[in-house]
Amino acid sequence: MCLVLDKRDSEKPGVHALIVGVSAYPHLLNGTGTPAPDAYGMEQLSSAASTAAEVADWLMRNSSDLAVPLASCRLLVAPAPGEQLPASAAGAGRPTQPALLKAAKEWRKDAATDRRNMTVFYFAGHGVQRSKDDAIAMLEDFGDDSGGGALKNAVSTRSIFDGMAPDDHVLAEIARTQLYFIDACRAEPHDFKRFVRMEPTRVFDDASSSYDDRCAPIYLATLPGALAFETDEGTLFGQSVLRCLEGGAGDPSEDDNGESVWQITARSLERGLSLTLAALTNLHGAEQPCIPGGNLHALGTLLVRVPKTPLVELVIEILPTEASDTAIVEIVDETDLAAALPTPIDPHPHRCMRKAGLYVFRSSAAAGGAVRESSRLRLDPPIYVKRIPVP
Amino acid sequence: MSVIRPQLVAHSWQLHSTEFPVEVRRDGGPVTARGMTGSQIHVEPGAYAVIARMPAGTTMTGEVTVGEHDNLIVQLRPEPEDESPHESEEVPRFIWGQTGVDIPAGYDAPEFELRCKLRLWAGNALAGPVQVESSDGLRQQEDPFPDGVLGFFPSTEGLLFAQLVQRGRAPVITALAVPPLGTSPAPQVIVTLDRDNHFDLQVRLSSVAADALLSFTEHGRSADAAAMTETNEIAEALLFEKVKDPLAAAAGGYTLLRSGALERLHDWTENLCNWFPWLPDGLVIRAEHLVRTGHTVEASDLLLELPQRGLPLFTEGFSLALDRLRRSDALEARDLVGRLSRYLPFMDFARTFFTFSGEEPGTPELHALDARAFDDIEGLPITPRGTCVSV
Repeated sequence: MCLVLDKRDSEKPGVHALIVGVSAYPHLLNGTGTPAPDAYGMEQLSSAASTAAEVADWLMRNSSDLAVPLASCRLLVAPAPGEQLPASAAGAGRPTQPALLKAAKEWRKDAATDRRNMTVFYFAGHGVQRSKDDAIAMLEDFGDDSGGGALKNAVSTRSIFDGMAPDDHVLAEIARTQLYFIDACRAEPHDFKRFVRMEPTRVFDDASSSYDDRCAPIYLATLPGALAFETDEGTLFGQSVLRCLEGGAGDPSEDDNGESVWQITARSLERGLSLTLAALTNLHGAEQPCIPGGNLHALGTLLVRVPKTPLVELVIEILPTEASDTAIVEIVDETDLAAALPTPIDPHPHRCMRKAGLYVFRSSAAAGGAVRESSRLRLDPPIYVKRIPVP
Repeated sequence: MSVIRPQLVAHSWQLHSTEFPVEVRRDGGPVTARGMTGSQIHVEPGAYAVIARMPAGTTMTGEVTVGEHDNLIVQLRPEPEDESPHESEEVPRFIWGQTGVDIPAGYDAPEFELRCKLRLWAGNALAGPVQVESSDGLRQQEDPFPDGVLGFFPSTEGLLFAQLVQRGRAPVITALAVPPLGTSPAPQVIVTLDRDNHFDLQVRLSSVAADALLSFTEHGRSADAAAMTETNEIAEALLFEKVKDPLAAAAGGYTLLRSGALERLHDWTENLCNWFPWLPDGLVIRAEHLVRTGHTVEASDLLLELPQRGLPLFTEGFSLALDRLRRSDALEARDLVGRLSRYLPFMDFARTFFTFSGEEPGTPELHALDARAFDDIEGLPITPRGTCVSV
């Protein structure tokens, strides 16, 4: 039992989502169950389950903006005590190994009904990266000491990706657009070293496909614990994904009638996610871009329509920094409406949100000084950094 | 229809001789066409902004109004504050993303702390011990780079590791290979100082087109790398010209594999594998090509030869080899997986070239060096502006 949305219709293509979030690990440090024989230094997480549930909730609320409507959503979550989940998570299952294997099997069956289908896989929890395309994802029952290998209740995310490849048999018509998000709080190197040679459970058998024409990017981020799960708003990676879906990964395009529209493609999602995650991690003293793996084929594929002009995080940096005490800066939009920044600019750099569009920047070293005007600059989401040199 | 031909306003031959993806936006708004600098792009009459986003993120823009049957050149320029002060700084700025830092006063004092050491190791870490090379094997690049960015050419042939050693931090090691003298260009070892006064290490290729492909991917824009493949066949050309530059050919091969453009690999991967035994990545690319075309047994056999070649130079190659070897039950494969997996906890997947921490290439580890350990290491002493004779 984990289908939180079921609008499957074999006649129409749809999005099939499998979303997994594990905050509570009963057998890891400070857990509620029998302690694992070896916890590999891993503790409880605080926002993996809610982040996963928020991603599922976003898909359900915005089904009509997806390239094809949401047809099914399977959600497996283990929230931490007190962790709040959206109401739409009612009916979610627990992310144990047997539950995940069962959900994945049914998810693949649904995905295989129409090549125009799209799939979304999202995992948030403990994990370690072991190639550009693969991570070991620890499930709720990790460390339950029920026999089998130490990684029995962990899965290889690459095995999911491989098992979703088209073949010449039952998977011939499987979804050709597949998105994989791996949002992992990584184990410390010295702990990771101890299980690096162990094998986790494979979710699917190896595919024998020799021709893989999927647009199937894998967005994989393994951040150290403090950085991965530091905020109350969810994981940094999860926040980045949601900001991108809200329009942060929007790309301006034209519809069939030549009208301007915003849309998210695999191409724009990659760029948006990389910039957003790097900016968010930078605010926490690191900077980690998200380098996609998987199949980067047909990246122009439409994923989401953005219904309104997205916002851009505008960062204005005065050079040299000391000049920010006296610099006068105006941001002029397409309608010639000018917005002045406060003087002094504090905090510096100045951060604000602006609608995507064309802007001109006027600046002078101080009130009454010579005014310098930039050319018309296109502010595109998610982030635009404008450096303004002041003599 | 009319034609526009975007051209970068650049001073260096490297940028002039390389083609970059551009987007054409009607009235600066929606994207109506995509193409490459130096090529013809067909558009309807109208006003357009033509934008090239360079691999490191700098935007070069030009505006043009096109009439019926016009054939116009559009010059694309950076904003004045993003212009390169010297032509030799264009590649670091626009391709690598190295704009330089302010170097603190007193940097040249002997006791100054902003100092690191660079040393080379030679050998095949998969086959046995590797040896420290004399620091005479590193020659500093003479053309000026941005402040705090230094380039070095290794003069030793074969499989190498560049190691950056600095006080209070774990040593960083990057794999590289230098082709037999005079046969093709050597890669460059780049040492950079960041705003937090830490040094970093990277490897750059002499082929600007290959370097641009890699840099697009490093900056979360593999779609642009794919565009260089799809619209202008650059990756294919790099692979074709493997004799001229095998390292660039490997970069092209990996880009084609990742974007699923198998038909553009032709049978050239076999020659890349056979003609350059000093390049481990030729073997990995060939094996992956064989897998993707259904020849899994041949691919497995080939990958078992990796210990004779050495560690792949590219993170992509390391990942592909490990992912494929993990599926094999052969004893030799299990052993090789074990040897490769030792690096996993200590490697940086965001880097293009295989990069990990450790005091020597055969034993990856994460130990920060104290002052005494730093002083005991013999290497080429480096200050933010260059090499230094006395420490």
